[in-house]
Amino acid sequence: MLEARDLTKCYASIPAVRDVSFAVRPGEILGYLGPNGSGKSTTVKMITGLMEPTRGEVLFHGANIKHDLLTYKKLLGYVPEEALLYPYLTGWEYLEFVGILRGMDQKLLRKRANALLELFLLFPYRHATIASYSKGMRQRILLIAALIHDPEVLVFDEPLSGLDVTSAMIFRKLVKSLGQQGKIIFYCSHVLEVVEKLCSHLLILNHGKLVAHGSVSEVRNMTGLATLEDSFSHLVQEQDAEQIAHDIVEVMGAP
Amino acid sequence: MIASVRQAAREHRERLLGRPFLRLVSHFGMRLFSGTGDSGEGGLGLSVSAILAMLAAPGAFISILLLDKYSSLLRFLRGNHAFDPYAASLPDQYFFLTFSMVITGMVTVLKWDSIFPDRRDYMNLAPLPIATRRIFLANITAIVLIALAFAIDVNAASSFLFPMEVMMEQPKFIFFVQFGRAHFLGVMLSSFFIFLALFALIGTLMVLLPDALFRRISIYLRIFIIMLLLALLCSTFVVPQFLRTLSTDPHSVLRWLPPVWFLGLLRSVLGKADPALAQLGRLGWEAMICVSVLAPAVYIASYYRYFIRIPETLDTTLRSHAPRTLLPMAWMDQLILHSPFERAIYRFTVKTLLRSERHSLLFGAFSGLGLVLALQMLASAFYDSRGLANLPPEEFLSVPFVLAYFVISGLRFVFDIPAELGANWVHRSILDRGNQESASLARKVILTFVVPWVLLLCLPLSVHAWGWFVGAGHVAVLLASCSLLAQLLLRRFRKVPFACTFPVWKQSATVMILLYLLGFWAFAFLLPRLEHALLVQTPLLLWGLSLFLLLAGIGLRKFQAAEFEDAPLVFEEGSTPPFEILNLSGR
Repeated sequence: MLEARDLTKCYASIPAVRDVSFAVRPGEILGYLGPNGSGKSTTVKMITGLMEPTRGEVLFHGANIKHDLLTYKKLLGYVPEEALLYPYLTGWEYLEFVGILRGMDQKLLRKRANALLELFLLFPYRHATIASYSKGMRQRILLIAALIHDPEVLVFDEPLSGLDVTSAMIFRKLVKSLGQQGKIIFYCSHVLEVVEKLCSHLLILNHGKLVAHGSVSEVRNMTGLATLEDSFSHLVQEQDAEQIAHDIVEVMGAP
Repeated sequence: MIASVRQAAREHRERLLGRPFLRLVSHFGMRLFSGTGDSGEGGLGLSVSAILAMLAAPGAFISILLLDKYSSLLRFLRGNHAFDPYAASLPDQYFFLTFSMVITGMVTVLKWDSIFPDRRDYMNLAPLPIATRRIFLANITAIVLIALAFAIDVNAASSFLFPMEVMMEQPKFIFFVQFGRAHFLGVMLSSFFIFLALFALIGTLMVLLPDALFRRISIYLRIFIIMLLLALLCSTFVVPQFLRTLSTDPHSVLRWLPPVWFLGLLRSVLGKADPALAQLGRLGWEAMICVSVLAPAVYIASYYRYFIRIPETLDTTLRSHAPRTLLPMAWMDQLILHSPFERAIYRFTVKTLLRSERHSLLFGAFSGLGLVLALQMLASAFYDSRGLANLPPEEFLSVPFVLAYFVISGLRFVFDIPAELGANWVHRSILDRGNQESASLARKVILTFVVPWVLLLCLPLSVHAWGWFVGAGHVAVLLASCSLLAQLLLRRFRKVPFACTFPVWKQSATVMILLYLLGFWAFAFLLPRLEHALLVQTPLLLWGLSLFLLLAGIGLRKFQAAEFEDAPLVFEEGSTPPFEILNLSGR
């Protein structure tokens, strides 16, 4: 089980995340929602071990991850929000690089890399440099790199960014299957429909504070609204979206 | 046989790179040679072997040129019979030491950002199960190995050819070995010294300064270091003739020059150092020990301060205040930039030039070289000041021309280097490809970087030195020639600066370099000579010359506008065919 207890992160004494607690059990998919600047990425960095919390702790199977960070990282697959890859490496070289650094057996690495490249429709382009890849192709390489070592914990930060419809559909089904296999999945996204369909549990963050936590139906019941979108708007939006849209159109037409 | 050896080598390499640590070392090594932008445009598309060959070539080439000085046959033909190779080689040793320092220093400055792991490394490596200590060790191993490879590469040819030339008449092979050993030690240590010194400087600044301030001053500091290195290279023409004053003048400024310390070190190893040089040689050893201790220490400190904090700086570096600009844009929009195209592309060009690291560094290097040469010319003009009373000597007249030539040609050169090509869709989608203002806009940008210092610095100084009529006339000639030069260099310029693919230089690189050198001679020496000749007749002719140059510029502009009237804006440079069929019959 992956557990966060009272996670708090402050930048120069300004809190970005305050007292966030949650737990994800094997087989569960936790959807992590929040507007821009709500502290989602900061939380992701803390649960992936990239950043130390100012207060609180991240526990994996009951032990604080910082006590054996390397072992935890071996069991972790992470797709960051931004596809920062080495543009001068080919897709194949990047996977080989990551696999070797993860200490994977070379034969197994090759076998899995080839199979995953085929399945993600990148096999014909595996020897082209990442510089020439489209955004969707880069995102698929990131997904393969996160899955290639068969991790126990998967952290996805906006994983659908840049993916075409088919790839996104495949990915959604893949996440479901991974959940059924007993993986612990932390899914951070802005796309409410996807989160609603995929995740067994939800966590909504606003201004660094947890404002809702529970199953999708529990969150809907909590607000008394019919859809997740309405519930989300109710919980985090301080401005009337319709009014803002109307104002934008007015500004566009203004002399 | 060869195939099996190759296969075995490949397998061995794969086995080695299969080890995580060596793979990391190889990764950090590769990123030093590669581009760092998302599009992979950071590098100039050169392979590692091409870069090594380019760095090795000058040492070999210069050694071969020195054959003229050391060849016994040529000396015999010239009647130069008394020849002491140890004394004769002193200036050349100073040159090779300086050359080795300058090349290593330049490479270090240009690759400054790639030396330390960056945000991309952090995002890729930090989630992997590798200890930070191992990343750090792999990085430092890669840096040391590459520094060693560079130092050997830059100095290998000269370490063999130069001692061979100098010692060719010596009766025993041991003389060659001793000379070669001292030379190799000197140039290698000087390479390592500059590398470690710059490394220590970067590390110290990273430790002491806040991250945002370090990033802001980094580019200016690098340009300044490039200028210092160029000045050091130029010192090779002057310093050797003053080396003998070291023993008589204990406060000589030469004692502050690191190449002189390493010359002392080299000569001490060779057993040919006078007491003053031997003392400086000891200083060289001490300096070497200092930087060898300091560089790793500040590296460790800066590594822990910088790398570990990357994820936190990502979340806290958003700036909210608008950047300040020194250009009076509203005024320029009214007077100079007439169309929306000019206003938009002018802003884009100036901001890219000042903010894109690659472009500002290259432009800084050109301007720095111009400044160093101009200052050297100014110093020599003061040193042997001659000419007519009340009239400026040619050397003085040349000074601003030298600087202007490098600024203008530097700008023209960097305009061709793309910045984030993937982002040029915005130009492609908005601009009218039939727009004819690109050359005129580029000329305005060029003149923005010339006119202010000419008016604010050259004009008052010239007027103060030679009076209004001659001083202002000289500045008028300078400005008219700058405008004409910009016009000439922008012939066929049909692109938005920085928004087009690389031009195909390979086929015409040699001709281009020759033309630039010829242009430099004509612009920086011939024009001031003509100016001086006219001044001797009557100062009025100076104004005539400026008028002539101005009219020539206008005429050329009109001619070029008519010649390329139908040429569209280009965003991709096509390759030129290796040969063309000339339709001489006119049919």
